[in-house]
Amino acid sequence: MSAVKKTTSEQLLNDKWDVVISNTLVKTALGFGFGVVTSVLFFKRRAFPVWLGIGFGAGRGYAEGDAIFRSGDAGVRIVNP
Amino acid sequence: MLRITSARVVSQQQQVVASRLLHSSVARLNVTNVPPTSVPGSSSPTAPIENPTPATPSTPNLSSSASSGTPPPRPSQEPKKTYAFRKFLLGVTVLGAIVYGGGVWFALRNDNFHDFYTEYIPFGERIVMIIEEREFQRRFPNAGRKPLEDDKPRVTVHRGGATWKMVGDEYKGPSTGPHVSAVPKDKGEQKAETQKDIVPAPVTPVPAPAVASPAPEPTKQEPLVIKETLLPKLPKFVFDGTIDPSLENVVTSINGLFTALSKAGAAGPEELGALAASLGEVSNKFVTLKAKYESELRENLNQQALVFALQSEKQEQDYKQQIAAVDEKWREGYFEERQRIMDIYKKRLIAELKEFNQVYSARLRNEVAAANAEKDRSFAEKVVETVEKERDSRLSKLKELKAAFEDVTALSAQVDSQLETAEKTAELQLALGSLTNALQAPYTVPLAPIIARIKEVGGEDPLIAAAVAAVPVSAYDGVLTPAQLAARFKLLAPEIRKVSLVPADAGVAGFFGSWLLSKLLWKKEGKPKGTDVESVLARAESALVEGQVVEAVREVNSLDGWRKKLAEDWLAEGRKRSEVEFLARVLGEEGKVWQYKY
Repeated sequence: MSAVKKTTSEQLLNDKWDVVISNTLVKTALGFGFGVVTSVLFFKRRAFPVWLGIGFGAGRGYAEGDAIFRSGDAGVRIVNP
Repeated sequence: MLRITSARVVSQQQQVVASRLLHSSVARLNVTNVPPTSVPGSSSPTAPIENPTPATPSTPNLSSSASSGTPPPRPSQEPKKTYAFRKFLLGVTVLGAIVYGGGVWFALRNDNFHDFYTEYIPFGERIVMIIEEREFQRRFPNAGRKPLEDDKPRVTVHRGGATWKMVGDEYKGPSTGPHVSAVPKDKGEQKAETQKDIVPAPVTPVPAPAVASPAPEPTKQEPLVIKETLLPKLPKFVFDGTIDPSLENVVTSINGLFTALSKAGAAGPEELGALAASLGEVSNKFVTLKAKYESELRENLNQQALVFALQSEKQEQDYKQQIAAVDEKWREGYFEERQRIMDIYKKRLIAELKEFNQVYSARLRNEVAAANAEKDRSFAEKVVETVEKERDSRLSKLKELKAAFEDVTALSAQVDSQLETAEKTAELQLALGSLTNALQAPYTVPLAPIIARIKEVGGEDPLIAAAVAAVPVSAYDGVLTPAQLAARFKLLAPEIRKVSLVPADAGVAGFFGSWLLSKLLWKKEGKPKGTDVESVLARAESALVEGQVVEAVREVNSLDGWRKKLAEDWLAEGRKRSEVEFLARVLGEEGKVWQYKY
């Protein structure tokens, strides 16, 4: 493991925002992908599954962002040593 | 690239396909006067919703016109039966089965999933249990049956206690005996049996029964006629050892009597007379013997008495001699002991006398020496007196000189100690000055060596020691200057502003809203009163500009929640600086007072 970079307390929220925004983007993209796949496979290339997938992804991202802001550990993945 | 198409476009495509197919089939059939069928653009907007009926209006014409030849293939003219609902049901069932089965399989593998599965899925537990039981049966087919009977050696334990057995014809007791028949035994056998008993025994008391038996016998002169069959066989006396010859006669006569008795069953008087005579002989012999033995015994006893008397006399004399000897010994011992004790006392007395003499003589000598010394002293005094008188008491002047000299040395020692104190004070002041300089420098100065120096110089003073110990360890590397703290605060302030409107327990929306709306807040300057974030920040800023770190730290400390959390690091640095400043002031004051203590 690389050395942990010491961040000052002023950057605390900025780091959290980084995590939240990147997480939301990733989840939205994933939702979009699933929506596309579902639409092609099951729904005859209609548009609504894609929007549904985007909505799911964004919602997940938002909820996780809420959790990250509310408690300290939500965005942190603990790896067993 | 996927094109997102709408239902309308899909149906239009289908219409195009259908019309193309139609055209091709028409071309094949060589029918020329068929008007072009529905063009995509001309179809009604509402029709496309029903997909399966794009070109229905035109088909009957074609079929009727083409019925002359073979019926054309109608690939897509009729309404398609898509069985959508059935397909849907089938799909759901298949999917459900797969998921169910997959769930069961996964539940068998994974423990957590097993718990979840058995709890939440209906009939899940049952299926899993069935499968598990089957597997168990497969692996351990013999479980539950009785254990094997042939392998291990068996140990049979007898039932304790008595057992019963049928007593039948097997058991037969002794064959002979009175319980079988009462017929007496054969005589020969009887005699052999009884003789065995009597042979080992020595002389049985003969006189009593023998005397008894002839007494009644001679009175009865008629012979005893006893039937042979009723008499038991009388034994014959047989002896192992030697017997008196007179007794031998008795024995033979008794034997003769017994044989006669046993033979004829009658005892003749001549036998009995002989027996009596022999018995009388025997008794006479006994009497004489007895008398002889008695006399012998008496003689022996007398002899023994004499012997004992002699022996006792001799023993008495022996004892008397022994007593006399012991008495003598003790007397001697007593005299010896007395002599010894007297000797000891004499020696002790002599020794004590000698000691006393020595001590007394020493005392006398001491007195003599003291008298001599006294004499010498008075002589010396007289000499000093006269010398002094002669030389105008110069000796006392010498004494004064000595006293003055001693005074001077004391004074110089005092001066030395004071110089030491002054030196120490100067060093302490230097150290404290260096501390103050370090705090006032425009860059961070490591404080560890300065603190060490202060401790070295002024460590005896408890206040200085306490102040030095109170310096936080993190400050040893140095503290930030007010300018540095101000610069850092400039970085901190915008972050705090971003968070200034965050409500309690906020999520993404709260933070985002706070960031957005805080841009609309007025920025304050100077020293405004108020507890809102902007006022606090303004007051802290102005305190820092003035160099009042303590005030600034106090202001920032009054924030709460996320604002304080962001400011934590800055606060730590500020607190360090404040503490060190305070301690430096304390040390400075103490240093000023220090020189007056020592």
